[in-house]
Amino acid sequence: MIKLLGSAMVVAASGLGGIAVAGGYSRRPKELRSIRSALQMLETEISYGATHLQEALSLVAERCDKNVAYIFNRTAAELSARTGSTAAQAWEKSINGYYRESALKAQDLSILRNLGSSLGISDREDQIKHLRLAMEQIGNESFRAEEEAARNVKLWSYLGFLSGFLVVIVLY
Amino acid sequence: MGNSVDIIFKIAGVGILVAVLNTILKHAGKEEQGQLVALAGLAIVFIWVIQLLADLFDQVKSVFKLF
Repeated sequence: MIKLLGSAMVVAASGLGGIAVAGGYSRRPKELRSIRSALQMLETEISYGATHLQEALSLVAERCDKNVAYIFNRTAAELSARTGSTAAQAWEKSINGYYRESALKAQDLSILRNLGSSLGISDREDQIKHLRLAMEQIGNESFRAEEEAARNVKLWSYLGFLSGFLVVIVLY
Repeated sequence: MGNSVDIIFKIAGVGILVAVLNTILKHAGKEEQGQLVALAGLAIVFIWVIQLLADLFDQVKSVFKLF
C-alpha cells in the first residue's frame, strides 16, 4: 500500500516537473509578444502623443497585457516617486523584478536593458529608433521562441510522466 | 517462481517506456538523447538479467557439486 502511494507520488512529482518546464517554454513566446505590443504602444505615445515618459508608461501599463503591465507600472511609480533615479535605473529595477517571475531568457533581458539605457535621455527620433530596434529584436526572439515551444512543449510534458513511470518500474 | 515472472513484466515495462521515450525524443529532433535513453534502458535490464544469470550459474554449480 505504502509502495503504491510512493510510486504515485513519484509519478505525480516528475509529471508536474515536466509540465512546469513545458509551461516555461509555452509562456515565453506569449510574454515576448505582449512586450512587443506594449513597446509598440509606447512608441505611439512618444511619437504621436509626445507624452511625458512617466505618463506614457502608465498609459501603456493601463492598456497593455496584464502580465507585462508590471514593468511599465513599476517604472512609472519609480519615476513619480521622485527618488532621484534616472529612467534607465527605474527601468532596470522593474525589468529585473519582472524577469525573476517570467519565463524570459537572459538574451531577452539584455534587449530590454539596452532599450532602458536610451529611454528618456534623448529626442523623440532617437528614442523611436531605439524602440524600433528593440521591437525588431524581440520579434526575432519571439519567432525563435515559438519554434522552440513547438518542439519542446509536447516533449517535456511526456518526458516528465514517462521518466516517473521508468523510475517506478526500476525501483518497484 | 513469482519473482521471476515479476522481473519479466518489469523488463517488458522498461522496454515499452524506452520505446515510447525514444519515439518522442526522435520526433523532437533529439536523436542523441534518444540513443542515450535506449542505452540506459539496456543497461538497467542487463543489471537485472546478469543477477538472474549469476543465480542460474550458482544453481548449476550446486547441482553438479562443482564447488
